[in-house]
Amino acid sequence: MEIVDVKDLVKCYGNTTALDHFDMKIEQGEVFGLLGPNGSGKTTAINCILQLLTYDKGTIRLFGEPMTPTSYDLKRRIGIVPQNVAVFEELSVRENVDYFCGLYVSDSKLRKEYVDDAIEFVGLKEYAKVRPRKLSGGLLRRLNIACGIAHKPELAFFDEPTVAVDPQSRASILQGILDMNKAGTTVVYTSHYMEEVEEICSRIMIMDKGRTLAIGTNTQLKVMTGIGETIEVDVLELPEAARAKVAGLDSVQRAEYDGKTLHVTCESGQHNVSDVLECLKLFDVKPGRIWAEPPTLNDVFLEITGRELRD
Amino acid sequence: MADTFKYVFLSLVRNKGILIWALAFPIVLSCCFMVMFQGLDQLAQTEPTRVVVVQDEAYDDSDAFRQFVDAASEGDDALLSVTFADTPEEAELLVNGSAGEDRPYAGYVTVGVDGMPTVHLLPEDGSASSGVNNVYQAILVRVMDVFCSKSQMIRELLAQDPLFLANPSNVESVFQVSDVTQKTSLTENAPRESVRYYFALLGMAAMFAAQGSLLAVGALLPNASPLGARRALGGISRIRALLGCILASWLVSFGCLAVAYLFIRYAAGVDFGNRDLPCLGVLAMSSLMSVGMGALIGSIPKGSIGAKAGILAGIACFASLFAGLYGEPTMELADSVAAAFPASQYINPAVQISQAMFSLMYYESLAPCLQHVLVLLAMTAVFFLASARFLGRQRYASL
Repeated sequence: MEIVDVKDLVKCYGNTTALDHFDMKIEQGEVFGLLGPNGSGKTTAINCILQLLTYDKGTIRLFGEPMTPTSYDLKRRIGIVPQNVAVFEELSVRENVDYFCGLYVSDSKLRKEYVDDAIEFVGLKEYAKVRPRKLSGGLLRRLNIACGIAHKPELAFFDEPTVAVDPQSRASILQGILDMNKAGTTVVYTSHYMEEVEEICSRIMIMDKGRTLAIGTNTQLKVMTGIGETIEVDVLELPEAARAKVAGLDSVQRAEYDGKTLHVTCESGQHNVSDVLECLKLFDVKPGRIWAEPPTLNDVFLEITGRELRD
Repeated sequence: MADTFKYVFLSLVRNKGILIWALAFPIVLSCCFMVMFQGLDQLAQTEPTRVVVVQDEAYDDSDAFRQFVDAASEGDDALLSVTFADTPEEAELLVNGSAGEDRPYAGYVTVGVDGMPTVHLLPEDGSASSGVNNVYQAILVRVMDVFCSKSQMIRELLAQDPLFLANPSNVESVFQVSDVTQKTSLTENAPRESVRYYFALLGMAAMFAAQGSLLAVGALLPNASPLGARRALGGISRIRALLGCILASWLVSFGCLAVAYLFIRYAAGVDFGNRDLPCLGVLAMSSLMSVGMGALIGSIPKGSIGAKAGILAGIACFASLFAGLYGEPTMELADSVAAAFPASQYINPAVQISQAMFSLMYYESLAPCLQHVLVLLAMTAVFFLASARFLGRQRYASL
């Protein structure tokens, strides 16, 4: 069943098109990664789906029903962990979680249980009576998450939840999201950290300039872009002709020399390392350390969205 | 709604800005008024006239005058506060020495060989309190005149009929004197010069208390803060969230005003008569008006919460000017503006609150106060209707 079904969504800010006939379908039980450079339209898409923003065209259906600003029954099934920490400064951790849980769950007994679970889930039990201003950046992020998921939503949006979070907390948060997913929550996850998306997302969408550029599993995306491994060879001296020869190989996309190491990006193939070493041998270049890495999502992302700097 | 009410209330009462501006500020300003206006109220109070009496042989021999002085300086309603001196020179020194004091001696009195007093008045010193001293000097002169004329009359009557005082009715008619001073009141309660400042202060405090609803309602707007956006995604309707915010803001606003009122009533000693309940009723209405005003400013689509709080503070300070909060010149200005443009009073919440309290204190009937309460109610309705226009929006073109 499609939990999220967005069709032909268009959203303009003045003359700028933030979402350009954007489509998105998310199946129940998925951990769906939404990737894109800054300003690509990820947060705008989420805000339109959640009916915070008006849009010019398109349809949005959640749980099979049209989503409107007053679809409170649908809203009660959704959790949101926004990009910016959004909590009451004057309320304690527990009070904040209880307040946000109360926006969805009216049964006080059930809510107490949910609040305890959420605080336990993000590891803030010992800070339950502490006010947000006394929490570190990482703890604040965890509180933000607890407020968003305390009511055990069926669909949860995580908009860059691990920004400014230490590696231990990040690992804990990612594991928590996987646990939530196992318990039945469909997750939409946006992040700039490719390794996170690669680690937890069952399907990934890469978008830019308000459009979907690619969608699929991690493996599908790598196959789709045809990116192979990245080979790095330490060489003391490399004639330009040798670099050009390597770059000219059929399976090589790019070959760059930084004065110490030759970086070669290959298309998927079976003999890339041996082909590169053959070339170097032709110019009597003696390689030092050699290593090859399989392609990462980061490579796929850069390949799809381009390497030029963004605003 | 109950949860929204509970947590918005908690967040407001823990907000330092609210505590400072809505709760502490009126109390601090009341304390300042208490210090500043202590003298002002004393000026308006009639206290026993301070006088020096020369206690020489003639005074000791004048049984009638001695008894008169004793009687006039005894009890709670004493007319005179007497200090004795041995000689006229010493009395003059005492009187002249008190010239710079808040309440100098009105003069000194010597008794002649005939037993009749002579009043020697303190010369005019041109000080600020000389107007009040003139009153005390007039009282002193009048008291002594009464004594002299009665003494003279009794002497003449006794000369004609030595048994005149044997008849009790004669005694009563002779000694019945018209009061030298009489306490009268044209108003429900005794007026005090300083109370107008306290009323204006309550008006200003009510407007500052609007910060509560400004913050509460502002934090509901999705385009004002991430918290507003987050709350807009909740599973409860906007109207329920709004009602919770308004109720919590009203309670905080009313609580702050009630504390300010009690402080003014009991610590500053401003007597509102036996009208505590009507006063609290006016403050409850004022709180509702302030919640409406805060909701309107807080719901303005553009601008940060800080900017909106600045706008509110500016409006509160400006409105309080016309309630006469900033001293005598501004009171005169306020009175002039009110005389020239009577309608200006009806759009100024601080003036309406101040006038409502004023009416309660000075008018026997509650009708004048009710008029001001109705104006406040109309203002509240306008504020809420205008803010509803902004708050009705569910989605925004941008956040």
